[in-house]
Amino acid sequence: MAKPKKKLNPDRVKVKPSREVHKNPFEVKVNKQKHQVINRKFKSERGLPGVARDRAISKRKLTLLKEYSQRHRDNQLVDRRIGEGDASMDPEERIALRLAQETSRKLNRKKNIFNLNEDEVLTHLGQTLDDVDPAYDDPRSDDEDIYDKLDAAFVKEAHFGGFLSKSQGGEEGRKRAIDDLIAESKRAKMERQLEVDQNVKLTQELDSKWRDLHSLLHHNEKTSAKAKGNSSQPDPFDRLVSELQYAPRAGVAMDKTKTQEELAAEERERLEELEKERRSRALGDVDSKKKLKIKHVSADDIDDNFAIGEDDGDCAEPDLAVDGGNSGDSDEEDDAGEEVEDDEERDAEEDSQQKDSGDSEGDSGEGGDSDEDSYDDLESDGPSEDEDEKKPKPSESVKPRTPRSILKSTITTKEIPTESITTDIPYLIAVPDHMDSFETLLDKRSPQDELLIIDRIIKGNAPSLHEQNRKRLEKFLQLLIDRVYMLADEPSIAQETLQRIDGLVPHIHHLVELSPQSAARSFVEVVKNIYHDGRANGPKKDSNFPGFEKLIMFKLIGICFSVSDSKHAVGSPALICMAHLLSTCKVTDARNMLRGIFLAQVMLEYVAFGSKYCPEVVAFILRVLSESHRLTVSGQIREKDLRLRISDLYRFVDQDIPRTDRCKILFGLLNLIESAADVFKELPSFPEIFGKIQQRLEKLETSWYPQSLKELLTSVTEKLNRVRTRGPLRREKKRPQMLKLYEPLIEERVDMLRKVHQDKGVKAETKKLQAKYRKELKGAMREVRRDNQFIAQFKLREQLKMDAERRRKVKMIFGDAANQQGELNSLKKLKAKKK
Amino acid sequence: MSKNKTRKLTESSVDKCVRLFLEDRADTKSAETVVKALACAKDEDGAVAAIIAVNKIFSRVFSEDEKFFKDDEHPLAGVFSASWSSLLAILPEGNKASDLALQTLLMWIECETVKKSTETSYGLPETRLEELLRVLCSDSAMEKHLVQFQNKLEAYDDLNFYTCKALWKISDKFSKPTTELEIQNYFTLIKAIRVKDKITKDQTLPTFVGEEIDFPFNFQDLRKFYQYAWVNFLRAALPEKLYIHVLVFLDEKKVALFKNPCLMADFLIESYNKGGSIALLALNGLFTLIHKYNLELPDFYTRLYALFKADIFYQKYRARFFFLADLFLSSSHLPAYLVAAFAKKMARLCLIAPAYSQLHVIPFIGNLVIRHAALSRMVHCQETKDMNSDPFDENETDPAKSRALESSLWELKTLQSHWLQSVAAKSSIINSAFPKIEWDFSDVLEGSYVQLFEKAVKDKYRGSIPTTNYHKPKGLLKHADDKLKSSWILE
Repeated sequence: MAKPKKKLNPDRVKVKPSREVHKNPFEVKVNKQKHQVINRKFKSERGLPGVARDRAISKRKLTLLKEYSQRHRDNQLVDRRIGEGDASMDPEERIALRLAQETSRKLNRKKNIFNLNEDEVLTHLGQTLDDVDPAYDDPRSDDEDIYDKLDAAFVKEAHFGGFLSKSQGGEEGRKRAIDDLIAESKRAKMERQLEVDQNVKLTQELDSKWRDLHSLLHHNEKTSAKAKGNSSQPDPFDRLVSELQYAPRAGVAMDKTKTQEELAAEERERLEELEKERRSRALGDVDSKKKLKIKHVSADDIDDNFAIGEDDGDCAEPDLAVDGGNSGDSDEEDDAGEEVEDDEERDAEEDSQQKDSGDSEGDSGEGGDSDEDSYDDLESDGPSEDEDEKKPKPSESVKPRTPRSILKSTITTKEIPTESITTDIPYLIAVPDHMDSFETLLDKRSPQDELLIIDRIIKGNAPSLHEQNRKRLEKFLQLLIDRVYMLADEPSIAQETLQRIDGLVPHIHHLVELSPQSAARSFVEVVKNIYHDGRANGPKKDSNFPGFEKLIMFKLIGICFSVSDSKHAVGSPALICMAHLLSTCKVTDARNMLRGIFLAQVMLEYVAFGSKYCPEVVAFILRVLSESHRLTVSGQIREKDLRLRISDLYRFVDQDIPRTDRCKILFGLLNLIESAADVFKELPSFPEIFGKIQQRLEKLETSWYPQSLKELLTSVTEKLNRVRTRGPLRREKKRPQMLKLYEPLIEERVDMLRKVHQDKGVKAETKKLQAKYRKELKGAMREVRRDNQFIAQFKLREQLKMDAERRRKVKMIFGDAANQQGELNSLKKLKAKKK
Repeated sequence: MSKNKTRKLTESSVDKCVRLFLEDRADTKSAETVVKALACAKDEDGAVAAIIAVNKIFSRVFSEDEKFFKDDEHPLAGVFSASWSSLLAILPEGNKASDLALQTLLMWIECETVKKSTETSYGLPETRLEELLRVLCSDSAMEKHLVQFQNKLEAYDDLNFYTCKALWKISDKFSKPTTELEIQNYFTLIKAIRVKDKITKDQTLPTFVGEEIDFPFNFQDLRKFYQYAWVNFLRAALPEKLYIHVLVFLDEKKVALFKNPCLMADFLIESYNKGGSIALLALNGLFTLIHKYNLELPDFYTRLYALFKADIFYQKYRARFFFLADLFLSSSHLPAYLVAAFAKKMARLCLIAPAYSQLHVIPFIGNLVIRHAALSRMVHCQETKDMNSDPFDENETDPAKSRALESSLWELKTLQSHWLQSVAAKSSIINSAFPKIEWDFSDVLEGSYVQLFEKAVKDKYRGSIPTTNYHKPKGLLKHADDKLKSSWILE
């Protein structure tokens, strides 16, 4: 199609001058050079002007002239036959090419390009396949001998038995024997053919009979399956087969089952890895890549049981299911269906947790059900599920269990107090959406029951079961935080309440790991409330320390988040809040001192991992020690009164510190100093930090102290007295920086005659381009000029031609007219003569 | 019932007397009765009525009798001064009558000024104004009256001038012990005095008289009065709260108005020696005196050194203090040992300072090292010796003897592991060579925990999920990172 156009393209047209022309001295033009340089060759040294002109003219004839002559035509006839007009082509080849084009055109006209069988007629040995008789197909199986072989005895006799030598009766006998042989073999062949035909017939008959029977059999199988009630659950064998079919070709590589030691080692390795990352975060010099990795590990990979959706099926639920007939089985079913897919997905993209759970929701097909719905289903489906219960789950045998999941499952099983299950707690509990409903749920429950209820709420509403569950659990976390606050926010605290709080901690940690971002948001809100507490500028000077219900929040944040990071969305505000409280709140009475000690210890806990320095804690210790005159102990104190109790934080404010409390405060303070000394032990100004503290500790009147307190004091002073070596500050040596040098100027080409663009950059580049443009423009203009000349020449020639023609015609007419006139004249003369 | 009647009677008799007087100008007797009624007025209504009556009488007299103020032997002069003093006596009562009395008094002063002024002498009754001010500055004065008087002061420049003069005369009383309220009232008034030069000759100041007569304004006199009014006042035993107010009020510009600002020095040095936040504030004034008025203050830097205590970071005026301290230590002609002592002292204090102040103290120390090349040995020392005990003596009051230059700034090294990332980053300036240009820390001088907190809360560290603790807790005190279980039990 594109061929005629190509021919019009002037670049494509090439007219080569013949070789002889090059040799013709009359054609060659030698350009005289002004300065001769040996070994230098110019392109324009010799030229063939005549040839060049001729080439240009013929090129124009082929292109420009054609266009010019066709300028008034609207259309033209194009011959598109292959090879038409190409004399160099072989006629055979031309025909073959045309045929090929024809067939391909036919093929392209097909309706459905993917259907290979549509129009093309397949043949075998010249016959269409449709014509081949289907009865020709041998119904016999492959095992049967299709090719009739000769009888072994016969072969032995006839081929190797010395046939000719044995023949009796000479020539005659031999001939007869051969005839016999032929007749015999023909007969045998006939018989065999008959037998085969009969066999075929019988087989066909049997087949038709079986077909009738088969439908019956099939029906029967189906109904029996239905009666069993597991239509959705196919035969384990079939399942396995289908799984194998769809499994990747190479199969999924599985870890070998690991021993307890190996598991422990792996866990240790994992923890070490995490710790390394945490340390780098604490130092605050992580690059973004590493950060991403950390995020991936801590947020999604390690601690998230629910996205995988196997834990509840594996460990927690069976226990419950055995106890109560209708338990969270629907979950299990879902899990069983999901597990294979889930595992695959987990391998593929572990980090996109949200998507994962969403996908599995879609697969299970029950994503739309709300919690209540599934619960209803359970009750109605009660009896049929017992059967399933006893069946071994086929998928479980296939599923590769990662060591992590096993480990986790063991942990979770330990946490659940199975022996104390009270029967009236339902197994599936919807997430309470506000505090009132949550409280009614937990009303008058023992701590164990309460934990069980919370555990069931969390397990039964795992995010993998429903996409809304994540949000519900995020809200539930807030409820739990509020509950801790409310439990602690009392005038005094009982041990049972503390146990309740204690039990809530793992759940809160779990929920925080489930959705760290929203958890961080709620905890930041909590810290904000504690910090401002009705005042815009934070805690007032000489105010009381906040109560345990607020102090415990800092402790919770420390447990749930990696607060040792140099910058942390929750850790940083919490630290600032604690620092402010420690430096402004008063320490004049026992309660404030104890609360301050608690808070200072929590703050040390935050920074201990990164061994960061807290001036506020040191200042706080100094402040408490400056009140040490009020902490003088006199009289016997029992050893067991020394330990600090959480309930001590709920004391009434009393200016005069009771005797037992003095010891307690001293005990807590010494512990605080000890841990501070541990955390700050690497700091170069350790002696200056603890110098004043040490002086004040030495002034303490220790005569009435209980033995353990005395020992603690001596151990602390020992720790503070430890001799350290330190030299004057000196910066680390750095490599001296190289002096800045000018870059040497290197000329790439040395060519005196040519202009070379040596300078680089945009300016030089534009200069170069401009020169090129000028050159090209000149060439183009020249070409246009010559084109015009050519056309003008052609026009002139045409004109001359037309003029000549006209002149010729005029002449002819004049001649004719003259002749005529002459004839007329002669006639006239004749007439006149006649007259 | 009977009391009411008598009051009504007196009221009617007062009205009658007024009418009588208005009819006959020579009837001084009726005027006397009115004034007597004013002096004897027991209750509020009676006093109000009497004041109105007196005012009616005298306003008529002022308007009609041109010679009333010029003639000392005017028959009504005695009555006028009697009514003046009884009005002053009403002032401290604080009721409606006293408000009215103050208004009347101010009006009378205005009238007298207008009537008495001539081309040669200005007629503002200075003694009467002084009497009024004495009452206003006494401990029985009402605050609302002071405000009223202040408004008047602002409006009229002649009143401003003569009040300043009168205050100077009154201020003698502060050489004797005075009550807190007196001091407070005086301070309120002197605060309102405006000291400004007449900018051009053409510009006339707003006065009672108006534009007809120029009042004899003398800027130098005003400055003198102002200065002595202050200096005398500052002798009083100021209560602490007022002390701070006074120090804040007496800033550079106010001191510049004094004729001899160095008279302030005694007061400032005294307050400087008091220590605490008062000393911080006095520093400002002292600096102005030293800087602009060539005050010689021996061992100023030793005193400044003494101000560096641990509680400095919690003071309200710490930003001002550090700004000034930076200014004092900005001279490159100070001896290196002195600057080193300051740097080391600040670094040592940083060890127990709150986080927000470290953010500006660390660059401060850095700036000192930049300014004084000799200090660079404190951050980079070529010698190798064991410095287990710091040669710097923290408790030495004389910076020259503190041996700070022999020491090193380990404190900054320590702060490199501060819990707050920004502090740690700031203190790592000692890790590399110092730049030539000093750090500007003026924007962090006003920092506080609240600002840090707001910033931390706002900074969500976008794009990264908050990292969680990978250690699984088993309970409140059962956790891998726990430090509490050695001392606390859950009971």
